[in-house]
Amino acid sequence: MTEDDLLELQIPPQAEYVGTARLFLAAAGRHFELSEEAVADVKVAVSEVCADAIEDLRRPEHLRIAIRPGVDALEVAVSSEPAGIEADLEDTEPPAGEMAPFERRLREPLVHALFPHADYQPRQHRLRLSLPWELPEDIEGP
Amino acid sequence: MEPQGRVARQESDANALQPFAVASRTEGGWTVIDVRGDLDVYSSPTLRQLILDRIHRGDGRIIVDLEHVDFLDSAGVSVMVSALRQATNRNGTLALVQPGDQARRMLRLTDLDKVLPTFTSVEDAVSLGLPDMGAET
Repeated sequence: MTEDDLLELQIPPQAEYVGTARLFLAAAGRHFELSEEAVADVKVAVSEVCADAIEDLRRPEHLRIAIRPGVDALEVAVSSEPAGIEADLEDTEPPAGEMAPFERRLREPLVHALFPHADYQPRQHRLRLSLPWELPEDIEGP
Repeated sequence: MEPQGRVARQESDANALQPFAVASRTEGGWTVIDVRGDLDVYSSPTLRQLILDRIHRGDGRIIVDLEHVDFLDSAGVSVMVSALRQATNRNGTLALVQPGDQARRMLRLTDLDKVLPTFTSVEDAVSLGLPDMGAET
């Protein structure tokens, strides 16, 4: 297995493209022979990160979703590049005394319920998780 | 640094995926909302608005049919919660019908399966009226 086995999708941080990201994950899941349940959970986690970025006042330039196969795990990562200069991230939080929308408060516990060991940084729109995985027989090993 | 490997790009609105559809009808005194496709950050505002419109015009008993919903995330869950709150504030209620495996998992993980009554069919929801919580999941 080589660096060429990295699968990557770059999307604009717009709500209409989150479905495209899920199609990409579904295709990657078929390629790497993941279970439907695993793919469904990854779709949720990635969608939550995308939604965070889309709703951020400082929407990033783009979102990048990458899947990198290892010997016994698939690494799934979502990352973003901030638009313009770095500003104070605190300005994306609701004013004191106001609650963030329900779905925003739900995202982090939901992602960690699905993937307890995921590295999820909502403010940076970053996610990194590992899926237990066995190399399919028809894919050449490293 | 530009990443290695196969990079797919989607940068045109023409290529955007929009597999979502919603429609409403009346059955046995209930407003039934049929949802198709993915219920996420893109589509949930449409469903939220439709349900709230129905509630505000006086339709207090709402059924959301999830049989054809392929994907549900926190945005979709949030719609259900706010709709239930709005309906109960007006002495109504909201029930779900036929959530698939993925939607049921989301409802269970968020503990909403305990507060959102769920039925196996629209007919059951209509005939049973106000259900026992979670009795039909």
